[in-house]
Formats: sequence, C-alpha cells, structure tokens
Amino acid sequence: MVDLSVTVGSLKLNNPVLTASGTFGYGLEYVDLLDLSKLGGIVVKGLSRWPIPGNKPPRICETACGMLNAIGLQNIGVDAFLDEKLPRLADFDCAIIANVYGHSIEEYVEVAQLLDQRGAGRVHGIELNVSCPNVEAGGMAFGVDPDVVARLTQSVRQAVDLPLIVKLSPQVTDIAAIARAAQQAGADALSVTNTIPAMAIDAATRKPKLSNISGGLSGPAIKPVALRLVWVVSQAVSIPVIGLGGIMCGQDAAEFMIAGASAVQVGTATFNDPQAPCRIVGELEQFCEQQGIGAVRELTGTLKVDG
Amino acid sequence: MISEPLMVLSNERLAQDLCRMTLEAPQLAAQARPGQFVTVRVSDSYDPLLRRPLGIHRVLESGGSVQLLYKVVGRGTELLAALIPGQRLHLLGPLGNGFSLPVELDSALLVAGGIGVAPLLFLAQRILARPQPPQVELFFGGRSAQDLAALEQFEDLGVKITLSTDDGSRGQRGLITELLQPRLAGIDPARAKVFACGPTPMLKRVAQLTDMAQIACEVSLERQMACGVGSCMGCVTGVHGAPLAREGHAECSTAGPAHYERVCLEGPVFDADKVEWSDG
Ligand SMILES: Cc1cc2nc3c(=O)[nH]c(=O)nc-3n(C[C@H](O)[C@H](O)[C@H](O)COP(=O)(O)OP(=O)(O)OC[C@H]3O[C@@H](n4cnc5c(N)ncnc54)[C@H](O)[C@@H]3O)c2cc1C
Ligand SMILES: Cc1cc2nc3c(=O)[nH]c(=O)nc-3n(C[C@H](O)[C@H](O)[C@H](O)COP(=O)(O)O)c2cc1C
Ligand code: FES
Repeated sequence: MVDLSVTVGSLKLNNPVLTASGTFGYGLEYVDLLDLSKLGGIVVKGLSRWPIPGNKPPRICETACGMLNAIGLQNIGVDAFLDEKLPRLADFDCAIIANVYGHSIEEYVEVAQLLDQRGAGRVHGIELNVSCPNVEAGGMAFGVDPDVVARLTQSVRQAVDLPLIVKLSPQVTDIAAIARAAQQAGADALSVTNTIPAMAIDAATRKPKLSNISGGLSGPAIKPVALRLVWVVSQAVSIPVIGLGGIMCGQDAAEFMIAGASAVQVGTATFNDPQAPCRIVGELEQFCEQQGIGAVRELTGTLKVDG
Repeated sequence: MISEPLMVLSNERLAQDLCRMTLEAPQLAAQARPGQFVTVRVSDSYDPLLRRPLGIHRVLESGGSVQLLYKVVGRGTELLAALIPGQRLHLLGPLGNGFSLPVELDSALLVAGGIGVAPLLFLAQRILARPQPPQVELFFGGRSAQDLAALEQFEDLGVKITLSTDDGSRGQRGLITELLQPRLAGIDPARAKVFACGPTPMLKRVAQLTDMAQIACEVSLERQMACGVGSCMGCVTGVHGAPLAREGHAECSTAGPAHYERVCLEGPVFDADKVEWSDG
C-alpha cells in the first residue's frame, strides 16, 4: 500500500493529483465520468467578481501535441459559483480550490474574501491567476512584475485565512524572482505553470486560427518547459510547488514531483481522456509500488544532479 | 454517458473521402437521441491530441450498434478510416442536446449540406418510428454526386428526397436552399418544422428563409471542440438575448453584444432564430 496523501502548506490532500483550472469546469461536468472523491482536488475555472462573456470564437485550435486557447476568461462570476456550484461540490471528498482573477488588486481581494466568507468549510484554498491583464498597468499581466505580484499576494493574504496559492506565468524573464516575491508576500504555495503565449496561422487563408490572434499553449508540447520551470522555482523558494503543464500519465506526474513539486495538476490531458485525472492517480500509485516507494511525498525534490 | 473503447464491426469506404463505421455499442444505442454526437480518440499517441466530434448517424434496428458517417478531411479522420473490424475505438457519448420534436407536426423538412447529412438519418429514423409520423422530406445539397451519402437509407425509410449539386452531376445545379425556398411557401407554418445541418453559410440562409416563412427551425452547429462536455468554454457560439451582467466593468475580453453558449452542451442543436449569425 502506497501512502498517497500529501500536504501543500496547510492544505491536506488525499493524493497529489488535482485538476487544472479551466480544464475541468466547475467539476460537476464530470460527475458522470469519474468519481470526484478519487481526486486530490479540483481547481475550478477562474472566477471573477462578475460574469464575463469571454472572447469571440474561434477560441481553441489544435497544434502538434498541444492546443491553443483564448477563452477570454468566460465564467459565471463568484456569486453564481457560491450559490449554484459549490453546494453540490460538497458531496465529494476532495479539496476544492478556487482559481481567482481580477482586473485590479481590489477585485482579486473582493473575490477571495467572498470565497473565504461565503464558501467557508467548502472552499479549501485559493489560487491566484496572475496572467490576467492588469487594467491599471495598461493591460500588462499582473504576473510579470515582482513588485506587483508581491502587492497582489500581500493584499489577498491580509484579507483571507484560506491557503493561498499563486499560479505563475511562464512568460517572464526571471521566474525565480517572481516566485520569491510571492513567497515573501505570504503565499503558501506556487503553481507552475500557466499556458505559454503562442499562435497558429492558416497559411491558405493567411488568417490566425484564433479570433484573438494569439492564445495560450498547453498539453504535452509544453511539458519540458514546465518541468524546468518547476525545478527552477522549487530551487528558489522554500514553500511547496504544484507542478503542471502537459502531464498525461502517472510517470509525467512523478517527473514533476522529482523536479520539486509536492502535488500536480492535470489539464489538457482530460480533453484527450476524460478519465485522465483518476487514471493518473492509479498510475502514480503503481509507479511508487514498482519503485518500492512507500509514500508518494518521498518523490518530491529527489532529482539526482550529481552523477 | 459512456466513455470506453468500443469494437469496430465494420468501416467501409463509400466514396473517395467518405466512410461509414459501425461500432458495437448497445448502451450508446439505447441512450442516444437524434442530433447528439460522440467524440472519438483517433490516436493512442498525443498527436493528434484532441478528440474528434462526430454525429450519431444511425442506430441499427438490432439496437446493439451505432453508425458514424464521416468525411476524411485531415489527419484525424484519416486515422479513423484506417481502422479495421476487430480494433477498438475510444468513444465518449452521447453528448449534446439533440433535436426536439414537437408533438403536432404534419411535415418535417430535413436540410443537409454535404456531410451535414450524418445526423439527419438518425433523425428521420426516429421521426418515422412515431405512432403517427409526419411526412419527412430531405433537401440535400452537395458539391457533386459523390457528396450525396446515405441516399439509399433515406429512400428505404420512405423519405421524399430533393437533391442539388454545385456541378449539376446529380439533382438540380445550384444551392439546396434555392429548392427549399419554394417548398416553404406551400406549407402550413404552424404544423411544419425544419431541421438543418451543414456548412454555416447554408445554415444562415435556412435560418433566413424559415424566419421569413415563420416556420420553426433547428440547426446543428459545428465548432472546434476540446472537452465536448461543457468544461473548457472552447466551442461557444454567440446567441441573442440579454447580455451578461457586467456592471460597467473593464474586461479581459473583446466580447460583442450577445452572450455565448457552448455548442457541445447547450447545442449542437439551436433554434435558428437564437443564433448570432454574424460571428465566426
Ligand atoms: C458536433 C459535431 C458533429 C460533427 N459530426 C460530423 C459527422 O457526423 N461527420 C463528419 O464527417 N464530420 C463531423 N463533424 C466535423 C468533424 O469533427 C471534423 O471534420 C473532424 O474533426 C476533422 O478532423 P481531422 O483531424 O480529420 O481534420 P483536421 O486535420 O483537424 O482538419 C482538417 C480540416 O477540417 C477542418 N475541421 C477540423 N475540425 C472541424 C470541425 N469540428 N468542424 C468542421 N471542420 C473542421 C479544419 O478546419 C481543417 O480545414 C462534426 C463536428 C461537430 C462539432
Ligand atoms: C481551455 C483552457 C482554459 C484555461 N483556463 C484557465 C483559467 O481560467 N485560469 C488559470 O489559471 N488557468 C487556466 N488554464 C491553464 C491551465 O490551468 C494550465 O495551467 C495549462 O493548461 C497547462 O497545463 P496542461 O498542459 O496540463 O493543460 C486554462 C487552460 C486551458 C487549456
Ligand atoms: S468543447 Fe469544451 S465547452 Fe464545448
């Protein structure tokens, strides 16, 4: 028997496999397809203060071993999540983490506070998506400037008691500096990584394949990039890291843990195989058994770099 | 909903780029409604990565198997065409809402453009299985004769068929909507309904014509899909109606006046007058 339980800061998970924000809806879309109680946790679709309609279609397209998306953050808003979705999620024995974004620091704080107060006992953690354009800074993403990341993290930290995870964008010059800024400002953990800015063109029509022109790349194509970022970040901070980016199977998950992650998230894999998150829990357990590992958390940060 | 590998019973090439696959799928056969679709995993590798959506073409009388009719357009459908009986195909479905049939109906007009005919055979099957079925007519347009798939099956059901092709190789030369228009004029709008599936320009025209004739019309839309179950928000289409509350907020998006619904969940079948035809 492998002990699959892990802790991510003060967050206790039955196993290290979570679903990634935006790839698992509000969780309820999958109740017919897999047993949500078998997951370590669900990170729900990014929530904003008010519902957002999102970008014009086409919003997604396939690329080699990956996909692009430019959803434009379509979501039902935090109130509808609390009223309509969260009560039904309470039936399942897995952590519920709310992915949050705003157009200003105040909006992030307001959404996080609502989740903390009205979701008490049912929301187990907050993940800040810092890839959203910062309106005050002229549309530049929150996540690119260590000072802005620190201010945002600190503001939310002061406003809520829930475990606080900051999800880093890969599109920065020095991800270690951003990671340290988030840690110093009071983040309990970091998620690494969000999608990578990318584009696809139809040569025949000379048009971009997405109406937004560019989008975020995800899936197996980004795994080597994500793996390195997890390693770099876990070297730079002492708080736990949650690794994600192209995880398709148990062995991929193990690699992210070896690189330094305490838990992982499964995203695009679920589009290929709706049972992927649960399958990966099983495969990870099997991997540990084969390797003679008694507790999955023993994998974290065990990369052998000297010969 | 099922999500499992199913046995391929047959996979025939009907024309150069047209295939029909039969799968052993008793559960799917029992659950499926016309207009619903499935997604199939075309490869065990991660390239192509996304599943391909395909309409449910026919449920065989024996009830144990389901047919898909597909056009080979790219890598995914090419991989599908290479499957042989005895192999298994990972399938998720039935997905989506399906067509809705009013109880009181004298005529059901099915309008197909090219491979859009795929889900309409199952629809004709179910309409004609009703106790007092309305008259079912098929208006079917293609680029040329080879595009006009499944005609025999419609004939066997006793469906009245009107054909057109761009090149005149079968039926009347021109667009099928030109043949539909006069037919709509001779019909009691209160007791008729149009069901259409095909390329967007055709659907848009059908929507215009049925709107003018005041005849109820449902269209089945196509969009690139990732999840197929409503979780990714990737497949949306603009619909008329009240815009979402935005409270004067600045936004991350470039949204227009309509709001968006998911083709995989709220669709693929929509009332024609609900669809915002102006956007992609
Ligand atoms: C709800 C739904 C039901 C469908 N039912 C059927 C069906 O019964 N039979 C059938 O033959 N096809 C159907 N389609 C279209 C089918 O999904 C695409 O033809 C298929 O995904 C193409 O895959 P590919 O890998 O062969 O092509 P790709 O290599 O992905 O692309 C080749 C070409 O096909 C186009 N294409 C790709 N995806 C789609 C799409 N979703 N819709 C339209 N064009 C696309 C691309 O723009 C490209 O030009 C349906 C689509 C939807 C959304
Ligand atoms: C369709 C789609 C929507 C996404 N929406 C969000 C979101 O709302 N918030 C967020 O933080 N990340 C979002 N992401 C990013 C994923 O959570 C994840 O970081 C990324 O896809 C990389 O992981 P993967 O390769 O396993 O998919 C989205 C990704 C996809 C594909
Ligand atoms: S394909 Fe994911 S929401 Fe429709």
